[in-house]
Amino acid sequence: MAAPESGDGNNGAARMVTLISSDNTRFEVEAAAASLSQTLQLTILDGGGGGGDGIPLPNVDSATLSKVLEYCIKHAPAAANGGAPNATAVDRAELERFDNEFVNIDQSVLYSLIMAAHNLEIEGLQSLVAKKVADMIKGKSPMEIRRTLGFPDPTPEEQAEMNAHMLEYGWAYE
Amino acid sequence: MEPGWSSLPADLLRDILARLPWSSHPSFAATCKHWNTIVSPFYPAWLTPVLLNAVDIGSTNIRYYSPYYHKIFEVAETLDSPDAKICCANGDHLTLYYRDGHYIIVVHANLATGFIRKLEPLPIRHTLDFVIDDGERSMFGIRAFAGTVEVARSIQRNDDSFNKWESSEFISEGLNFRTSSMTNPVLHHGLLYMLGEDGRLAVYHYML
Repeated sequence: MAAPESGDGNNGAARMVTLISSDNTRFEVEAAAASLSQTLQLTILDGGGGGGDGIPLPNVDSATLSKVLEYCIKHAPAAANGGAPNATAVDRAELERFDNEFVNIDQSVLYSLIMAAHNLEIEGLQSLVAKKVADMIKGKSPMEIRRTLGFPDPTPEEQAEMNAHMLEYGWAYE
Repeated sequence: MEPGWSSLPADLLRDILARLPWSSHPSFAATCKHWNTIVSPFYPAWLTPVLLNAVDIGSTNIRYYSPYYHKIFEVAETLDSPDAKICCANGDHLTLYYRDGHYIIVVHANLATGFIRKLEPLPIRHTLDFVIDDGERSMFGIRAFAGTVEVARSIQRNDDSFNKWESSEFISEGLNFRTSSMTNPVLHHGLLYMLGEDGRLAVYHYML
């Protein structure tokens, strides 16, 4: 087993870590990118995830993890800069374009992403998905929200509750 | 609980809710039971209309602001009368009155539907100082003058139109009660309270 690198990657190859999804797929990724996750950052600072070890992520499947890492890799340079000072307007515009494109996906994938962001404590990703979901349900009726997010059809009791609620609180729905 | 949006962890739901305008909160709360627990209690919509102004440019358009929808609404019907005076706002109703020739017209405007209903005209000699809607289908017109107080009442029928005014004299001249011009009468649980100039409080029960 190889000894974990002691350097921080300033002089040569960046330090890599291995993440293992719930379905046992291994992902090798730069430590800097994985460290966007507060949870992983602690493990990585302790020297975990290097060499033949890997960090098991039992709550994240490979499809979701690959999407999460796509986000982390894209955002790692900006995060390393402490967010802003050196970032040019072009860089920021590019990140924004990436983000918009990134969340332009089915609600079921958004669900897996926000749960993963929550588990792994990736603040930026969680905010990004939360904002997307808010945009998707803004101005919609309860039934439309349920349809947008793929809820099962309401039971008669749920339907009655919904109606009563809207009667009391929503007299001017347009 | 099955995984899915309907069982999203509370802090994630709060994160989403925080990005929604107030006007989307009722729908969010009604989406399912779990989501409902995330939204802080808010006032029912019928409580919230707040009057902004009644613009008087030859006609009176009633506009009001609802903090709930963060929006200004305008009552659809135009009140074709200048000089309308706003007397009372109760729930989603607004009460106004104005002079029309030799008559006084009291109108009851439903802010939610925009529908305006006129009460039976009162001859001008009944000039009203106050008009109060009790919110329970009774409209009171009050005239306090020279030690007497007259109260007229009009009851709203089931079809929402109003009955004729019934007048009753409230306080005899013997009591020498003068209402204070600084305060308005207040209706509370079917009792009408009026403050006198001398600080005495008069209470009127219209059933007695």
